Amino acid sequence: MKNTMLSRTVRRFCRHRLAVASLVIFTLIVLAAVLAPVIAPYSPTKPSGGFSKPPNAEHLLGTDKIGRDVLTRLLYATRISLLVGLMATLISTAIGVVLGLVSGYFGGWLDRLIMSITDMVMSFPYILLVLVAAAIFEPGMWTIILILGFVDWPGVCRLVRGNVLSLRETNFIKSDVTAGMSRGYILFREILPHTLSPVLVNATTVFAVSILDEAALSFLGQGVQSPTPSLGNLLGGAQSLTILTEKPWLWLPAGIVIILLVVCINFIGDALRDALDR
Amino acid sequence: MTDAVLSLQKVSKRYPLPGSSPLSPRYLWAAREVSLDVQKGETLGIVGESGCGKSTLARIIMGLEQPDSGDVYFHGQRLTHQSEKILRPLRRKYQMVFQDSTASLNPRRRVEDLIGAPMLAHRLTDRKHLAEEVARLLSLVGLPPEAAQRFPHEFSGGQRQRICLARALALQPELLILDEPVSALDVSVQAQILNLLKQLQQSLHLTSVFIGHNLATVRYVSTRIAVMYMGQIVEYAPTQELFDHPAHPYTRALMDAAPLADISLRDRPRMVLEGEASAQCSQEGCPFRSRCPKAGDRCASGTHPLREISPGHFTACWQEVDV
Repeated sequence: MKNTMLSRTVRRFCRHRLAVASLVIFTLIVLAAVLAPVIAPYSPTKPSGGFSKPPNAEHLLGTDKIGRDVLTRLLYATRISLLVGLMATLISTAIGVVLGLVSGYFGGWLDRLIMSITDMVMSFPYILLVLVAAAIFEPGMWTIILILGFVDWPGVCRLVRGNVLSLRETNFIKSDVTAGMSRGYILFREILPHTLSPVLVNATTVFAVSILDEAALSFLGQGVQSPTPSLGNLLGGAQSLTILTEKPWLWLPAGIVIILLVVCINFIGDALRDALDR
Repeated sequence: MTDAVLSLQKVSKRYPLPGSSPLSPRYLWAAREVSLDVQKGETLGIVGESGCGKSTLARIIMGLEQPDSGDVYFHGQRLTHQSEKILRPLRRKYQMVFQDSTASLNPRRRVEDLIGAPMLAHRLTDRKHLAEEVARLLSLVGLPPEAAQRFPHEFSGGQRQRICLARALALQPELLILDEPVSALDVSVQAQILNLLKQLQQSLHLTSVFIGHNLATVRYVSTRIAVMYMGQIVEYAPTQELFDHPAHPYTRALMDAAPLADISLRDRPRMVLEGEASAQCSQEGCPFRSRCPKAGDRCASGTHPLREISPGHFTACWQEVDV
């Protein structure tokens, strides 16, 4: 039965041609990023050729203004951006799920407290928060992971809370209560598994948004710092008009990778929503 | 309440009516000073139309809701306003079967888990003997042992209700609360489940409370019947006595509403109720008076407590109904 449920989910997912294509592209990008140290032709931080050379046989995507290979930098940058997105998603989902469960199940003053914090975090312009945080702490990969992680959880929290509220009213949870099952069993073995699929779908959105946010912040110089490459700070090179117009190999690849990642993740999320829906 | 298995004492629960002003709120009474005793081995039937508060009463007994006033006792032990810590070990002794069997079984769990998890939680068995126990319970409710490996949606409504029953019986309860256990089922299946219930009550010496809106099904399994109207018990008597001498006009109306197979009896004088139990029913006096053909001035004033008109037969109507 478990198998048929899984196969049904897979079948429904496969009905979305775009999502399947997205999954393939996404997997390729992830593989390339993970294997960057093996497949990258040069070092990401040391110059290996002339300055700002356009694509050629030795440097497939050219070199940047201090002579580093753009393809190598792109591979490493994707790696960093994916890591930022993944970690931020994990952190925010974990926070959101826990707070949502607690808020929905226990209710009362605890629920009101958590919900007011949620509203506060949601209404706060996060860019401002990030700029302030980046000014206080040293900007860098982990700072931005933590900031994004602690800013993105309210959506998940509300989602889980809503789910718990409706599940708590179902008879099967009530029959667990009347059977004298423990609170831990009801929360983690009965309610949590029923909220996982919407959380998973939501996580894909958060993942895509985190990648975009990282790109935006790094572009502004408040995210991942050079010489560590990230998709955002590769784009940062395009802030000057001459580069934008005359040296597209410096920024176009990073832009394309960002678009591909975000679009692919969103299509995958959409298909997952349909596939997991029952 | 001394030796009663279950005892309700003046249990009241009311909900503010939507749209009523917060300064002078009007209420819907789901339960109004309900007092009931259930003795060992008996089956108390509670009958009434939709929305009269039958299910609220069941939920209050099970501790899923707290009454506004009054208390529920199980063997003299108070259940209401009690911490879950005290209740949890007690809960094993009184179990409930819900009306909707589909909604009361977690769709993602196998029958073995559904029936087994409560047993494990109360340490009534261990993992080694679990399969054996589950098979025994399944056969008790008339299901094959292979059912253990299947999921709830693979069964019919009647079979699912059997699973719910097995789950409740798994904890070896003394008292079973059956909240409209057959209302959602086909008539033919209803009869099977009712027979099963009756047979189990006898073989396991269960005490039970059977809630329903169909007088005929309630009559079939109950030794005593309480008739409920708008949160109040209006009549309460041993089953045979109730059917022989219904004393409250509402009871009479319920009986007359049932279709009869005997054509010659179809033209009998009947009491037919108009409209629905209105939520706007008066806050004072007899709640039934707006629909009662016999209502008089006396019905509008004061409360109408239950009075005993013959041994064990109580009615809340001040006049005798001529049958």
